[in-house]
Amino acid sequence: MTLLSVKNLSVKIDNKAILKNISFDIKRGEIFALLGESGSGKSMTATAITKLLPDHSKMNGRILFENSDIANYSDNEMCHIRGSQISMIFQEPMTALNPLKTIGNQISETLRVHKYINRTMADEAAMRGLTRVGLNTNIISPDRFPHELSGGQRQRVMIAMAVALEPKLVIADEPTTALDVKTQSEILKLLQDLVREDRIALLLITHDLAIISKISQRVAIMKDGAILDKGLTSTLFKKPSHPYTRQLLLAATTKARARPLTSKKILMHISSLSKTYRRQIQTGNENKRNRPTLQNISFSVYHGECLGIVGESGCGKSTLARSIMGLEAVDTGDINLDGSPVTFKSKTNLQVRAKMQIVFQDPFSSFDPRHPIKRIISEPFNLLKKKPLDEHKRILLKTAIIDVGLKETDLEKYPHQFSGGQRQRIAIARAIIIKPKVIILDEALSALDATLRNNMIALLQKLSLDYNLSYIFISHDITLVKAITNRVLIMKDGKIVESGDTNQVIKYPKCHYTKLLINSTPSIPKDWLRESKPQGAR
Amino acid sequence: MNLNQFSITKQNGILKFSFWVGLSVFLFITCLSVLSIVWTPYDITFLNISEKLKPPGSPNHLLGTDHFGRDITSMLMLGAQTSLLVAFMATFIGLVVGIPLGLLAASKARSPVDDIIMRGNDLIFAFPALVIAILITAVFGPSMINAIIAIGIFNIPVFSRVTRGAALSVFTRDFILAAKVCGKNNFQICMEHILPNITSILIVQTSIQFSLGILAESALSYVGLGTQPPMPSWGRMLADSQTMISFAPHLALAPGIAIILVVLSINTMGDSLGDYLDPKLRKNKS
Repeated sequence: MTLLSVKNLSVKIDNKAILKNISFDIKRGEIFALLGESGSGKSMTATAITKLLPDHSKMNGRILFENSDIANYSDNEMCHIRGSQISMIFQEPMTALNPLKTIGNQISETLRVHKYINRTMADEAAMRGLTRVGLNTNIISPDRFPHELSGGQRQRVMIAMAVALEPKLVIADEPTTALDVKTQSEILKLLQDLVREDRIALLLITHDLAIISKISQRVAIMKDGAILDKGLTSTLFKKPSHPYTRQLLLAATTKARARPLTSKKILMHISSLSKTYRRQIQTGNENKRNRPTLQNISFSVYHGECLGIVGESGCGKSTLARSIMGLEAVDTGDINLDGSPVTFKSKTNLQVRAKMQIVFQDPFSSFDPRHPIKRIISEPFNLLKKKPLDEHKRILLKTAIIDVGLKETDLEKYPHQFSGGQRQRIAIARAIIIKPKVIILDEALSALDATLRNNMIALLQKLSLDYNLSYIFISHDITLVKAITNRVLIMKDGKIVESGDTNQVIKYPKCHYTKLLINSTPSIPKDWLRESKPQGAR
Repeated sequence: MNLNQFSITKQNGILKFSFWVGLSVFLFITCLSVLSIVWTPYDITFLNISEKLKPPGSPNHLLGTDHFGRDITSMLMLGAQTSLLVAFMATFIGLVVGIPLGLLAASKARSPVDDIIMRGNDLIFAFPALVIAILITAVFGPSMINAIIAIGIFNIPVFSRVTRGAALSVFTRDFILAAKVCGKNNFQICMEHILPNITSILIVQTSIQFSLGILAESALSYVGLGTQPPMPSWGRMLADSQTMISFAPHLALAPGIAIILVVLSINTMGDSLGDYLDPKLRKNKS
């Protein structure tokens, strides 16, 4: 039975077509996925269905919800539908929840507004809702505030809010993108259960093919505001007909191969690094206080190697990166690079530090928005004793920008003129310009789409050869780490729990935690891909 | 190709029309006040009771006369001198002292240095500005210089607070880390990254403080602790006109409108300057 049917939906903002002739329908009890890379208009589709489009936009087409066309509904009429009939789950639960209200209150408030029931009844319903999404109210009290919960717990609260009014359609916009793999698989499981039990229709918006292959029955693939391909998920994956689908599948499944190690010469050695933050602020999570962030971390990096560090958020991997770079003081431990210590008598030796650079995760905040690219890229020259001048500097800048696959004319532009992928290239250009030995990539590819990722991996491998670089690749994504690293360290709670050759570790994990990480990582079923490969490779 | 790119940036990076309007109004008033040093239509120390309270537009007196028969136009011109000078100097003191303090506090956030600076600011905030101004003028005698110092001191915590707050949020961005990776010290980071990124906030605050400076000078002159007679200031003109507002509203309107014009022109200038300095808002999406 069709619940929602979108027919020839088009949206224009300032005469620019954002959505072009979108048509699809969703049945009760079905998970329908919208797949697309960032900027493909998939979130815009969700906003159009809830009629929360920006004011100056123009919408055409029909949106049939239970056979009535909500495209013509007034804002007042939509208020009765939003929340009670159609509800939404967002990507970032911290910003979607009100930080000043307890979680129980936020759920019961929705209930009171829409159902006109009294406070006690609403509170009880809120309790039931929380229990239902797996938050045991004896352990997680409804009186807690959002900041006292973990990311996964917050997302559960969001889901509880979304389903509290027993809506018919739930729109989940990248619901697990901000979460760890382990939490991700739990949340996906929860969503599946809710859909099955309540016969909700779920519109899942994501860029991750693996998630789609795991939970959605049907899928529509979007690009540039239009649906290119749609159908049953399994058919689409097994026999992709549209070239773009094939390209996406190829991007998601092509595994770059890590470059084999040529030498076993140690380039960098880190020994017994420890750090404890002294927290003065009371956090709700008791055991987080005064727990060491890094505990006795020791490892080496070989010449030309790509070393992966994998762990969930909060395991200390970013602190490790910052400690290595000397951005955070450590309690104990030494870092030795190319035969000389990076810190000497608690002062950073800039000559040695010049051999290390870092690329950050967020391509949008890692550049000063007021500086042109040439100035951004030339910033590391500050580390050199003899700074290159005029002509020499110009040549260095030009080489760096061309080496990362951008144009010389880009040097005059400003960061906001580039897309996320291009910005990460600029970040790499900034890192390579003074020819370092090691580059730390702190979740550097996490914010990018699959296609862009593959290009970046290729670029990193090329640069590694050209510049004789070693990488420390920090990520929470095991598939990604598998694709690019030679060796891997698994981190948990500030400790290295397992280390070794990447393929060995992933194939035969020894540690319980590693196994858990690997098993929670969603992947496209192997038998779906066997048939798609020859077509994709054509 | 490269040259072409550059010219596009230049072409579109123009200041908004409103900036030029603001600037011309402001320059016009400044010119008049400078002119008043050497020439005014009438000598304002010359009282002509027979000509008193002439409405605006009367022959010989464009904006009319006050209760002593002094020409309002001349008084406005002379008053602009004091008002603008006091507001300028006071804002300048606040900027020059407040911004470095704020940057220092932000770069050493949550350290004793930060605490000392910020609690010092609180201390100044704790006293009503006018009380301290009265104290200063009582000790050193009422004069324009003392009024400038008194108002200037109260601008310091305003600027250091705004600077610290804005700088703190910039300090958390990744490009600050990137700059640290490049071996930049706190001073370099503040000059190259923090200041340019908070200029728009500071410009807006400057225009606000400038307006407040004019008003504060008026307040001080009103209680007789700012500019001393016979030198007029816009604030004193406002104060003097108070008792006659019902039958000679032009006495209050003239300085009032003058203050509004200056404040508005400065605010529009500040606003469009802030936009101009932000590369994101320059329309060169080529």
